[in-house]
Amino acid sequence: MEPMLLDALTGVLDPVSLVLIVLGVSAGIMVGALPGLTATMAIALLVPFTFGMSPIHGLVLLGAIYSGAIYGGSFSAILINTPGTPSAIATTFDGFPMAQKGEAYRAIVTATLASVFGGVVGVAFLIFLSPPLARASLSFGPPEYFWLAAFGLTIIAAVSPRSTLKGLIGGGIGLMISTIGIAPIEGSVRYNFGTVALQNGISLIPALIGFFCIPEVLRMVEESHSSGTVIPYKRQRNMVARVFHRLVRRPWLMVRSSVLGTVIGIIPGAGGNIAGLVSYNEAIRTSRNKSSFGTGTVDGVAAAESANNASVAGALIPMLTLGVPGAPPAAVLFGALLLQGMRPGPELFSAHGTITYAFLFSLILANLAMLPLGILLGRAVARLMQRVRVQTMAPLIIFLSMVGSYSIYNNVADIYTMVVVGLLAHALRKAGFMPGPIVLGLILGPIAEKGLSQSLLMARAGGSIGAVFFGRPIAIVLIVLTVASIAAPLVLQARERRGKGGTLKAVQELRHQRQEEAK
Amino acid sequence: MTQRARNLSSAVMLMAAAVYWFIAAESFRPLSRIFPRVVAGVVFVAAAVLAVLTIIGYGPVIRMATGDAGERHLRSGTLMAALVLWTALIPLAGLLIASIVGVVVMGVITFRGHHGTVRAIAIALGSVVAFYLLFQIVLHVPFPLGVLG
Repeated sequence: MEPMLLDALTGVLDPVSLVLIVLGVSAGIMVGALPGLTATMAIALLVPFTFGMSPIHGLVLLGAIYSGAIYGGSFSAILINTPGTPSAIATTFDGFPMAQKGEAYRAIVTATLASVFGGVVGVAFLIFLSPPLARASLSFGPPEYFWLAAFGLTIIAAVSPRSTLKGLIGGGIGLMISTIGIAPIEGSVRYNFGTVALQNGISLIPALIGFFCIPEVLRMVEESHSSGTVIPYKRQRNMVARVFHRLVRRPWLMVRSSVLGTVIGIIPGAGGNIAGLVSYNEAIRTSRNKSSFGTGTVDGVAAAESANNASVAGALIPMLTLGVPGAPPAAVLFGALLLQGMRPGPELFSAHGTITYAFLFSLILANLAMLPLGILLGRAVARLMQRVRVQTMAPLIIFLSMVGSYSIYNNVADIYTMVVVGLLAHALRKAGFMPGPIVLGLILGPIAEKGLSQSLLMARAGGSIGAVFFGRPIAIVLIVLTVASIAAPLVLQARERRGKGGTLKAVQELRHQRQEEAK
Repeated sequence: MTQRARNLSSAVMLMAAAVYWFIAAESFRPLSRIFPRVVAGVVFVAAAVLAVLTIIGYGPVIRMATGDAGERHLRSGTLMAALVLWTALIPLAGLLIASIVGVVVMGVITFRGHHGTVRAIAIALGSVVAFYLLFQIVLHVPFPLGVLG
């Protein structure tokens, strides 16, 4: 084994890392289980706590929280019919009916085993795909990076949960914000409105905290309602073994859902919620017993949970290799990497290889830790959901947002940035523009601008603009993907209008029906 | 505000912002102005499409939160005002004092109408002081003390 991998293993197996994994997964499960608190918010608030840690320990903790929170969302999906995180939407379809039938513990064990399996498969893809992809990124020049950013933005719009057009505009707003500060080429100071604070642009971490924490806090206070009645359950002997045997007899379901989750996680903007829904849809489509879905079947929970946890690692693949986050929590992790002085790309797997591989190995341990922790903490989490009103945490979340924004550079201006961005994000959310596309636009903006400007310089120096932008093989592939990502939702919408929506439409109807029941 | 009005007002504001972004780029050097202008153009066109679709009745539908709209707006409005007050107090009174005031004001707004308001605020205050000390003593973060501090 290479010395770098051995060092990484040593780093992740040291007692502090192991304790951080247990703490991170436990905290993640609790955050994920409480509707209103999201994985992104938890990671954004925890980034400042990692400043004083070594890079390995900081990333291990954030990765454990991310994995734990996505899995934790299944608890509230099963026990109160409300997804704790958006990733657990599809889990409600069969998880809650199982709980209503008195099979809550069976549903939780299914979700746990499926999450562990999906998570480990996703991390395996991450470990084996990332280094060659990062090396492949060396063949990317400025035009390729420009088209990569364009593809990322169009795909964000295409998979936007509410409206493709609003997703596209959201990405554009993020791009506009990214142009504030000194230009990457020629150095003009842009849109700083005469203030020194904006001369270097918008600080990324305060902006991320503002986008993901403040609107959530305002929403949770606005929609001040109780979390609903938690269905009680008791642990049953041999349930883990019984569910395990049931899932072992469905290898294709588990493997397909996990691979789908990973692949969907890789697509920028398509997070665990889409992974869960598409995988659930595929489970229905390929099942011999289609009518059992929606009534409380183990297969439905397993398909949704293995996919959404696999998407965690999937979302990290483009982030670690190309600097394009696949999902909002990965965008915050991107900011955490930059703070540790690590830039995504091939260097991450060579110069910073020990830290990167330790982080990847820790994700496997975090997923394995979910099995005992999920089973042991399950009832405590249910009690927490019953007792804690997330609204009561609003002042503390805002305080931690301020402390987190300030402590990066010990600069009060970063608190102002966070608050202004947060209020802007709240107003935009009210108008239907979700933070995800805006943040991804903010991150992709510098990549796109640098690619565009350098490509224009290349064209000026020798080649024609057409040859530089449209004449290179990788650029052509990215252009085709960009066009396809714009066309695909239009085609799907047209098919739906003609009544050919297929099972995905059935899933949407089922979802709507569940929401009505929940009301 | 109706969905139609929200779509229209946001489209108009975004078009205005895009126009400003485009015009302000005039003062930048040539290569520094290209990208902001391209982005402003895309946002302007997309916002115009949003406005047209809304006018002809095909505007995107936004899911509205359920419950009493007046109560919701009152809660979020006062909370936003408290957030601004909290932030404005930091340079004057320092982060700790500003946060204590902010938490109390925000606690009263957030917990209004719930049981155990005083207990909830006390827990929130205790947590704030604990985290403040953790960052200052363990992580050595030099928090702003304010002109009164």
